[in-house]
Amino acid sequence: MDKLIKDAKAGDPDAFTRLIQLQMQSMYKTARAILQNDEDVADAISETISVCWEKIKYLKYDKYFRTWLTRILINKCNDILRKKEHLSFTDEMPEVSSNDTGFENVEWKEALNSLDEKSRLVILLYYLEGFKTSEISILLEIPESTVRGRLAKGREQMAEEYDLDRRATT
Amino acid sequence: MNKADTIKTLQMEIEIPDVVLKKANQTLDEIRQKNTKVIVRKKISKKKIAIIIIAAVLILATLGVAAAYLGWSRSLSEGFQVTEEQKTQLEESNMTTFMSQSCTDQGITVTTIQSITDNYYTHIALKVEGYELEDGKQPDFETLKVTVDGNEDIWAGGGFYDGLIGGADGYVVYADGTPIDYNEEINGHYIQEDGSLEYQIFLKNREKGYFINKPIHLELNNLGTVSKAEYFNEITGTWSFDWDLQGSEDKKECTLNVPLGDTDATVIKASITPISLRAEYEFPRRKKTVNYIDENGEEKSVLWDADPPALTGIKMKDGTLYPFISLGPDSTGYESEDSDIYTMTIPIDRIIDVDQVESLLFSNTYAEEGETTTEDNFYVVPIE
Repeated sequence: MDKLIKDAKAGDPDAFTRLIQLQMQSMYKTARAILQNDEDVADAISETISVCWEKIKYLKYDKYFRTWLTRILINKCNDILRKKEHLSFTDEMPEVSSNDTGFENVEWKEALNSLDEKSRLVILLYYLEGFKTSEISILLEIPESTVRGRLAKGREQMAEEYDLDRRATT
Repeated sequence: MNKADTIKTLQMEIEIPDVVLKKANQTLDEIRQKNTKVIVRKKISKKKIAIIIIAAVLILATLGVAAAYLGWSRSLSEGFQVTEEQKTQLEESNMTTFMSQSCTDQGITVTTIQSITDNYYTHIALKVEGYELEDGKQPDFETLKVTVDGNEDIWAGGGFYDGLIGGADGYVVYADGTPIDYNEEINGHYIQEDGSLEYQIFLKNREKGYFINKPIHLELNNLGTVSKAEYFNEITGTWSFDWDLQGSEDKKECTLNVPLGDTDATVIKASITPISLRAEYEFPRRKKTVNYIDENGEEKSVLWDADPPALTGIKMKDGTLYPFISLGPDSTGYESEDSDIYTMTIPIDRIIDVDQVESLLFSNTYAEEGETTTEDNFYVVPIE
């Protein structure tokens, strides 16, 4: 991946494309933890790709590529959320068209939805993406203590789900 | 679903919905279209390749060279900018060893040529013959599997040598001196004079001496090209190899105890090998305020775990400065959860004369755009 980052920084669109493709799973999961439907996720990822292409030449340290990409993506997701909130105050909220077709990724979404909104992104970034709590702090622009708190709460929720499941089956 | 199951489920690979993929691909297509309009491909014509191959065949026929490659590989000698004297030193120290194990499948012969191994890194070169690479294409194997001493969990990277090497300022340049224009598409110079290609494998491990004298298993599957984020298979085959890696712990170790400005970091030790640099710092854990400009142009600041200044380069005794010599995949971090001892190990993009290194360079400030990076941009730590 290091060479792809270097080539992408040098302006190679094919290297950039490959780099983004390698990050698609991560990008989708992160965006889906913030946004409720796949159309919004598609917009957020598309805008993130455009911004990253424009700015990658200014990325000073290659090793922070993932952190940098994730931060841009989270900000794009938050922009979409803000726009939607604004819409709900000024206009009649349009019907959200969900693209959750059929049983696509049902199990994954079920696991994601078992966590509350605030914990799910932190859990995802920590356990799936391997970011440190300090890195999540910078990504979400919240104190590290808050990150740790949300992680703890997420773990509690997962344990509670387990208890409920056990009670239901015994 | 218990906690472990939830995490496992979240970690599983999922199907990315069409609406997301379609839009992402559309954006990437637009980027490629916009950025290929001004691109002038530097292509070697098939005719020219044919002439090169014929010339190489004639030379080989004249000299009567057998199909054994017990000399320096092009990718390692040219790619690491090795002098004849350095070659001798590396051979004598056993840091580099030569192999000639061949495996042929579907008319493609892959031969191990050479490895260079120190305490933390291994570079391996393989020759690939019988594959006719189309002009302007980037070759690649579909998968690379590496097992060392039975351990599959090895950090490994591989790629065909493209004739691009690290310039003194850290930017890539063509090893053969072809001028490079970063506004144009940069095409690799993959094909060697004899028509073959060279594949390089890079391995790293944080455990000291991990690779030395260990059995290694390599498996390459399928050969084709990579373009626009996709692998296009041409040859379905498997090429596998087993041998014992050699290598050397040869290094220059220095006890330093040099504070890096007012950063709270003190470089206590360093070790230098011809292919890597390692610094050991005493650096009590603390937070630092990081100011940055987000993608909307707004200034932000946050608290983050502080890192000591990164080891990025060296100054040679003749005054030559290699400010950004890292090849890429470094290993950094504290020795343990409770320790204040932080280490940073970096592979370097060229072979160096260890005895000619005068100082280590640790990042301090960055040169302004358009200005040249100088010694003043670093914490300079003399090693003698």
